[in-house]
Amino acid sequence: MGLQQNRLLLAVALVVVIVVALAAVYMMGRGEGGEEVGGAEEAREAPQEATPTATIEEREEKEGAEAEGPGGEKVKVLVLFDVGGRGDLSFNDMAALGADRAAEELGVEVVYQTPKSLDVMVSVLDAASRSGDYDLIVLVGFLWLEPVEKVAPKYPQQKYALIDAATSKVYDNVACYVFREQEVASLVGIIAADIAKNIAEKTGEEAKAGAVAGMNIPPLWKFHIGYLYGVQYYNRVMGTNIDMVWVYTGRFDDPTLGKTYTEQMLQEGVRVFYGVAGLTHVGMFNAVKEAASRGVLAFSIGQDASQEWYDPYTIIISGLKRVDVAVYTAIKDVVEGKFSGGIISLGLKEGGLGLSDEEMIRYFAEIAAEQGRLPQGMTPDDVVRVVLEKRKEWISDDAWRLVKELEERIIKGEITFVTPMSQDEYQKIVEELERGNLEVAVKKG
Amino acid sequence: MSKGSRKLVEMRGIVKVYPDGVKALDKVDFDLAEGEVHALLGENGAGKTTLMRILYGEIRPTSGMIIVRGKEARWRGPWDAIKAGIAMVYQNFRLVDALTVRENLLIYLSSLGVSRSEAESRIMSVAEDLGLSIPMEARVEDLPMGVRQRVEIVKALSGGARVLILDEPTSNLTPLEAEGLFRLIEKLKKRGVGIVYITHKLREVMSIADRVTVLRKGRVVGRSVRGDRFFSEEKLASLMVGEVLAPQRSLGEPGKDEVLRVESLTVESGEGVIRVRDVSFKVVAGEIVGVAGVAGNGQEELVEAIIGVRKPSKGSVYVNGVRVRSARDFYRAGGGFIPGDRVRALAHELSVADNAAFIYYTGSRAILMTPSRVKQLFHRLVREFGLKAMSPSTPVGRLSGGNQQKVLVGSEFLRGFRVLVAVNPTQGLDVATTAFVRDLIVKASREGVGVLLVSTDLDEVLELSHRILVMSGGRVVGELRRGEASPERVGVLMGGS
Amino acid sequence: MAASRELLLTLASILVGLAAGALVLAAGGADPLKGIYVLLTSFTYYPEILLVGASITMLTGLAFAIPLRVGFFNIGGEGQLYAGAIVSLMVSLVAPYTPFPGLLAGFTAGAILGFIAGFLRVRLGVNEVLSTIMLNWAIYWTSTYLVIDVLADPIYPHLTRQVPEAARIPWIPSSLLGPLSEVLPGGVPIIPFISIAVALAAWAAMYLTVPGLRYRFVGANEYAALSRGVNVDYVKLASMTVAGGLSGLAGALLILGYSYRVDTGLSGLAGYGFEGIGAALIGRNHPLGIIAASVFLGELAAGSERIQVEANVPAELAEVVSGAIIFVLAALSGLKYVAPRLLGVKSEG
Repeated sequence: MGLQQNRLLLAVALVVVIVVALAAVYMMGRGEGGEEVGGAEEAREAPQEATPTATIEEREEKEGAEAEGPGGEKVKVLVLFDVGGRGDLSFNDMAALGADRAAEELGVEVVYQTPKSLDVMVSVLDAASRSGDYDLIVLVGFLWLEPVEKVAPKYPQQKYALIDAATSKVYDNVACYVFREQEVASLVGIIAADIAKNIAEKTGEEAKAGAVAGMNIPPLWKFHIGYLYGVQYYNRVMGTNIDMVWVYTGRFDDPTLGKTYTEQMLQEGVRVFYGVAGLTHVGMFNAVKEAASRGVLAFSIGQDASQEWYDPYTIIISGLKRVDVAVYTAIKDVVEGKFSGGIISLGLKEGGLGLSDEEMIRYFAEIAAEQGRLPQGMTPDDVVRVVLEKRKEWISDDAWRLVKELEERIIKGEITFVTPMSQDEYQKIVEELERGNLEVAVKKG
Repeated sequence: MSKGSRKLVEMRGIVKVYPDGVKALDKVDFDLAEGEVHALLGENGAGKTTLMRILYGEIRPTSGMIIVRGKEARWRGPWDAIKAGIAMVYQNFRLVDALTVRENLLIYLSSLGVSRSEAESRIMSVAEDLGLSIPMEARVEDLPMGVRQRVEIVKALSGGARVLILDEPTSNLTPLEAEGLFRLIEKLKKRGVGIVYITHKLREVMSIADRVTVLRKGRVVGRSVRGDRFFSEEKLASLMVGEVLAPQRSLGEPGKDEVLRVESLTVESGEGVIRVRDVSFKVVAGEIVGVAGVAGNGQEELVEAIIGVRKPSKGSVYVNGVRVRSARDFYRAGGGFIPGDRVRALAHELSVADNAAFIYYTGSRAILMTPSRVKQLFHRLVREFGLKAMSPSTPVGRLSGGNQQKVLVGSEFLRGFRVLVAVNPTQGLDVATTAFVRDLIVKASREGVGVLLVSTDLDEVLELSHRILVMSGGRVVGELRRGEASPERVGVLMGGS
Repeated sequence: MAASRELLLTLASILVGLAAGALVLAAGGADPLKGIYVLLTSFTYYPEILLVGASITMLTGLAFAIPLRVGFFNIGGEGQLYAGAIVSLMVSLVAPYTPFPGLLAGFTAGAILGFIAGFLRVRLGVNEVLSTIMLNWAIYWTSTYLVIDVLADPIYPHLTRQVPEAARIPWIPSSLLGPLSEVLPGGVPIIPFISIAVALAAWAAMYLTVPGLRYRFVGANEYAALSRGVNVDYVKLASMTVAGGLSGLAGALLILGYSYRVDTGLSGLAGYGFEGIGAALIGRNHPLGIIAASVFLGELAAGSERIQVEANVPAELAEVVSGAIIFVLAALSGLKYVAPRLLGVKSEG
């Protein structure tokens, strides 16, 4: 009996220790985070409050302008992230940013959920739709495409906003917000070509522009076409002959792979790297950073969020995909009763795309600073200062002039990019572009 | 006591009663002088090891005192004893197999508070002094047993031991290694180390001991000094086994059919030591053949080879004419088995019913085991074998030793067999259960079962056997018919090597 | 008496586990009582998550528990499940008529992996923890390759092609559920019934058959089994093989009965194998206990989705909470059963 009691005591003691340890781990996890730009993996293990603007409590205080739903109650919105969830300082965090802004400015109630795996996405969406609790369900990311196509037809009364993906068929209750990625990629292409040219002039060696991409899927085709267009646009106007190397790694979640590919490309003379591979291109950032520390002149370009803070010395600019704008617009449309199903396309004109400016760099640097993820010893101010210095040094005025010119033509509608519907069409466009035929990527008329 | 002028240790009136009431030692006196070898002789379970574990501080005596160099000592544990210069080398060495010799020695010495450099120099000087070469960098698991023993001895001596307790030191050694050990003991004697030599081997006592104390059933039954009239193999043997009553039980008449045949069987232990050497015999239906011998003389390996658990390196076993190549062969050919060690034969956390069923279904091709049939088996054990258990679902470990044995024996008898191999079938049982089990065995033999009774209890072997095979050092060193077997004759043969 | 005491102990450890979860919730700034309440009642909202999660964990739980009894730590449930899932998917694409070939193939794929680890241990003495972990990685990368390069869906490139309609394990439609259709509008998957049947069969095989009795003896007293003519190596090998098969079957059930496809990150498969270890520990290594434990874990899976919305708990914290509960529960119930086997000593008294 005595032995039994001892064991029981031991067990209780053990439990206390475990609980305290877990609590401690959690508390520490809030204070410190990983170092990676898209640290979705780490975020899952060491949870952190990644709400960019307002925390939940703050939001509740700011219920000034209350939006009312159809039933006369406050509009309620469920934001479903994709499996990676928040804390990526990129796609998902930007979506949260837009929803938070909507909560603040439009007075809607927003709740968030991140399903544990792709498997339960359908069940989660189905249950949320069935409950009828929400005026709008915002689905962040193309992973929701298949679930929403399964579930939406069953609940015609439920409104959905699908961000960054389009259903194959139009549903009255699903608004799909897609981006004309070619537009921002083309601007990035001009910048990349210019930097490559400047590096070549400085070193006397050949310098190519390049990109580390994720999987060979339609959304990435658009980036490829836009980027290549930008490089060739620059070549045509400036009379240069900058090459562009585009590489598919096949993964969006593998920094190691991204690093390996980048190192190979460095060997082949690529000096400017555009990252369109989610977590994978964090490996690209690291490879460029290491190359720079060995004295190689090379730069990275981020995508989706402003990612310069990760290493301001080598990440010179980012293409922005304003997921926040899409989410905010979707919620606003519901509040204003303007919701309609179908595809809503966002581009430079709608403010859904852009290049990172001082404000955006600072904004994301500040979030990163809050999470303790800035490079050792740097403040957000340092990040902005370093990036602007580097831009001044390595991006010529010609490039900025070209960017402005192209941007205006796109906004005016003079240039509308085609979106390839098949692998063959995509290949053909790329081949033509490589030959310098810019018109092939642009819609006629 | 020629040179033993100074006493190293003295034990007076040592009594040890275990919680279950078993009296392991009864007022035992023992002493050891400088530079002598004092043999502690006795059968298994006589209390030799218990007595020495008390001296070594591993067990606390119920009463009695230990005097070390004139002062009474109270051990809180072996460390106190070690610090007082007493060290014990067990049959199974206590070295860490995965570590090197050096690591083993350094760990031991550092736990005694010896600094590293001091430890190194002590080890070197001990090894040099004794003229031993110790492979310091070799891993223990790669060393032969004899070398491991030398490491143990060096370990003890460099820890400052003046009293060295050797527990059955030759049991894991080859004859050549044993010779080496004896030479080493001579050297230790010259350096004034006192050695307690625990053994049951008379020949070793005769060749190495200066004095001998004989224990039987926890009591000192004789003492002898080299040169006095008791210092002979015969006298020591009869002291060791004691007065045994002549067999009284009447046995049945053996039949003619051969049911068990063992042909020139040789069995090696895992370490390559030969444990059974060229043993051959037969058992016919209705015959009980006893195997006598001090434990550790190859009986266990012999039995394992017969029941098919251990592969012999030579020879063969036939049960009812069927060659035994695996345990399943043995049971399917009609073999029955009562193992000597209930702890190793039953699953203590499983229920009485499970254990009974497991034994009952040995070798069976049956698939289904319906609860009602198992319950029936349990009730037969209760009815026919007097098993006392709360319910079929009681864990077998909660039963008394006697009831555990009834589960074991009863289930095996209910299963049925034509050849029974029984090992110490009554060990640790009370008088009534002992008689019950012996009756069962004799009854089975009258019904035509051939029995091989392997027992370290000489009374039992003499009482139950038609013939007695005496084993020593892995050989059958003698065969006696029922009429001609006497405790003395068996005892002399047992102590043979 | 012993049974009621076990039950009491289990209830006590559940309470302690929940207390641990509540503490983590409080530390994370959430309402602990509400959080625990939501965690325990979400099955009404997500019945499918509970049912599917429970049925998969049940099998991977058995896959850990069965070899554990004979002293093997099958950490390979994860890889065996992946193999079963991918192989069953491939078979269903090749033979799109009934689910049976897929189920059989899934079981076989897992069984082969279990057999390899068992064989390495029994014949060559390779530690099964190492070999199963290494196999997990080998399977992980092979699966990733197959998913991305061979099975990818042309329309949804992050997913594989789907199991053809005819090869799926059907659901019971809600129209057949009568009064229950309110609660289960989506119908009921059949896979939980299959898993429960398998667990009950495992129980019956262990406790109502002679080979099952011998198997339990190998675990309880190997020497006794050996000396009674049991082929101990064979039993061990068989238990690893069956265990692998059950994990493989779990993967097949998941694919053929619920998700119908795999995603490139394998996120739909990840974790079930390890959760099975929790189920086995909480279920005290007994098939019936594992059934109960799996249902509890399924509820936690549903709850950790629901708690995000109902109690404003971020997804990561929800994971930590359910992790804490599982950990404490498993530690409390598992300690007694696993520690002695891990340390190679038999508990006395």
